[in-house]
Amino acid sequence: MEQSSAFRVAAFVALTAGMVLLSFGISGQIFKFGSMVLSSMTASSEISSPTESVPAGSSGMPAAGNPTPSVGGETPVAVGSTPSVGGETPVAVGSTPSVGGGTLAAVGSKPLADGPTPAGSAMVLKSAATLRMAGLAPLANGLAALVSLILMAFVLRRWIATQADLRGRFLKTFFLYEALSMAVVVVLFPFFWMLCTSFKPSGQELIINEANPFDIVPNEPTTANFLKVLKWDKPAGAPVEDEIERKKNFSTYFLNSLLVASTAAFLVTLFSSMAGYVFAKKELPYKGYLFALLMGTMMIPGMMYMVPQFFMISKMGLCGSKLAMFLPHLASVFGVFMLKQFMETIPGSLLEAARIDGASEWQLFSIIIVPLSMPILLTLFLLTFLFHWSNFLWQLIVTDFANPLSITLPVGLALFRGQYTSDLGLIMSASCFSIVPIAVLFMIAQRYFIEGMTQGAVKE
Amino acid sequence: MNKNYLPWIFGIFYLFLLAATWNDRVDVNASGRTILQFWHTYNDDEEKLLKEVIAEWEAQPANSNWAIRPIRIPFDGHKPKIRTALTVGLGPDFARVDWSFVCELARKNACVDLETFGFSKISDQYLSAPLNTNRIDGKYYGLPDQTTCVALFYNKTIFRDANLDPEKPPKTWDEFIETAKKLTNSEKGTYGFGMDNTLWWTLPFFNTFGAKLISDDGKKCLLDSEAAVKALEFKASLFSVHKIEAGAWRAGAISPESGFVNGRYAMIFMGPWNLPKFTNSKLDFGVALIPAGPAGSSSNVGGTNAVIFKSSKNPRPCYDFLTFFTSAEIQARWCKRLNQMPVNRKSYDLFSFDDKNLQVFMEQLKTSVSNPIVTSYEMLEDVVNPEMEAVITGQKTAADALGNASRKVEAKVLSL
Repeated sequence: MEQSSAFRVAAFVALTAGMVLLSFGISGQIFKFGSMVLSSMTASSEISSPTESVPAGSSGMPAAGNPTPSVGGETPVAVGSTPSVGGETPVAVGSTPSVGGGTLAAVGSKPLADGPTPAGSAMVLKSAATLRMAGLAPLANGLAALVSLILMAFVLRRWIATQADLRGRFLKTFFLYEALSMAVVVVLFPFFWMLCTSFKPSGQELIINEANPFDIVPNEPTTANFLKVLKWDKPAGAPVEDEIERKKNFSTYFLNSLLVASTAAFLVTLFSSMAGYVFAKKELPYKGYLFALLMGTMMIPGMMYMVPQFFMISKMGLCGSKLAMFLPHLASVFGVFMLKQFMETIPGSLLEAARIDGASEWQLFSIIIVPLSMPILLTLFLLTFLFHWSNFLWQLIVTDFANPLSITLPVGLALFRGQYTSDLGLIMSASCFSIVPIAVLFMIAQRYFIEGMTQGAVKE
Repeated sequence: MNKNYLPWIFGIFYLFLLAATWNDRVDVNASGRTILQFWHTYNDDEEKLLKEVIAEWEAQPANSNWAIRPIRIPFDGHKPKIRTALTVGLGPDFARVDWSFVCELARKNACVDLETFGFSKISDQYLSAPLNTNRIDGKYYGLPDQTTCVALFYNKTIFRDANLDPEKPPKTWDEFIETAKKLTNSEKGTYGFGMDNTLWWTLPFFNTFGAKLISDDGKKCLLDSEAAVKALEFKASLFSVHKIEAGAWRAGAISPESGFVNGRYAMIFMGPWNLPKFTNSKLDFGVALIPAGPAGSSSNVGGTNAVIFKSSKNPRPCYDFLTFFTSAEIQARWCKRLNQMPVNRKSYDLFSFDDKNLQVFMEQLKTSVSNPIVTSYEMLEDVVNPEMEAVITGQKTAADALGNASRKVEAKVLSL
């Protein structure tokens, strides 16, 4: 008994230590991230006025999708004359030619004496953000320690309040919570990495903190990636671009993708539900063979259809239009199969009862079938939305690149990748926006899933 | 009832979205000139300069009938985009493509033999290594518009820590091994060298040993030659015998780029495209020529070429523009401004970089050797890479692996 008690105490201490480490690590990173965002935002607003007087033509972040070591600006000028860029010195615009690029801090065209430049401003931004973050570091660490202490106190209180014979159960629950917390960390880590990388200046995306590899929040944050992605990095005095250049921006790509994916998802769900209903509930000659034939088409890789489909689309004169992005994919055999399987589980007696009450075929479909199939319809909607939201190859080949209004998000993101390099900061900052619709849809649909499942369970 | 508002919200949002994206045409005013479509993969800065060059060319009286319309496509996917567009006749007049794509386009009869325009009269002005990536079956089907190669990057801080002179990087493979041994501390997880193991990254080894991989007529694979075997044996020995290579080529290992930035690998092969990144990462590094082997110092070739498609109704002005674009003066201006390597030999006399690292790349390009030219370079990599890995991991001897690779290349790649 005493041995068992000692083991429980040892297990409790080990689990508590694990919890403290975990909570301190997680909350430390979260608070550091918060202080980083706060520092970047406030520093960004402070420099908004100097950038307004930037000489024309001196903007230009080194490009995304850059196969070369190019830098922007007419005359590449380094910030500082050493390889070090954007160090602790708040303002240090040098004059030697630079291979530096990738951050706002490394770009510029004139010495500071000529007036504020993007380089100068960015340098101030970077340094201000860095300094502010350094100032907030003790607060972030203190808050993380406080969270850990509160959690420890809470667990200790519960441990003491738990009767000796129930402590085994308590430990199991404690272990479960800790294991689940670890699982959450593993699942969310890539998203957190994405968020952190989007704030990293070019050249620092791959740098690992040797002392603590899990410390991935940048110490020198920059909002330059977001500004670049949204094309908000152009100074007020910059020359006015033509219409095509003006339209080439992330928001155009984003809205295009939203329209394409949502229209495709709605139409695919509509057509698949109609076809699924017929295959599940209606009698027609050779229905089984027809369905088997449809299923057979799933065996053929989608790549095989691509060129013939592109040929048809081009002959229809639709190349470059939004309709071309999803028209060939509106007939989804997978969708028909999925919905048919679900609709077969809906009792036929319900339809018969409705028919007796005088319901038309459309009413049977819209009043009985669709509401009862809502969970699976939403699933298909989401899957189709996801497919079109990230469908790169098809959208690439039907895009008319002369017209930015036909460029969608996956294709637009590819413009950030070059022959040998990828600008990770830009890609990650664009990805931060691109996951929003999917996350929102999942959050909304999740409720309906659960609701629908429960209804189904009660009915059957 | 209270949940019925969602479809309405979605409906209104959708209508708003539809209105916002309804117009999907942008009008381009060509001022009555005939439009020549140029598909390229340049980045923002390059595109800006390209437009300036186009404006200059269009302003010349001889070109008053033409308007070049540069259209940017993603590099990642430019091959399928061009392939499919050409299939249905929607291709551009001319395009900038990856160096490895020219052979496929030429052999599929998609692009114009530049001799039609008398290219041989001016071909001498281009650097031979990038130029030869356009030479397919004895004819030039494109001209280089941008070139690059890899050189040896070394971490000066690690050199200092190992009591080595950071201004004296190794010049020969023997010196390289000696230096790397001093820089390796496997207990601390730092290594003298980190390397990739794909064919393109291995070409500097083959080239410094004087190995030619494909015969001039493109019909025989020479991977099993004595020089190639020695080169691969040497490369494998860096990992397996001398223990100075970190195994960076293995799946899941720290990549050479990441290892170099984090001070794990003291030396790597890298191209000029990463100079800005490394500079921004506050790394104290230098660039040196690839260590010399029996055939001296040499490297591979990267970059892009420009081709004119047979479907173009006006190939001549496309050619005129490309020769103007790659002329010595334009190249000098382009490269000086964008820190790139000129493809035109005469440009090297017109300017020089102040940056020492870029100077090294200019020097390295002079001794670089053209890559193997095959219809599908991707397939060549797919065939050769596993064989090379088998050598490094000790599963096969270099002679066996390359003999095997040679047979496969002749059967699968050279027969295309």
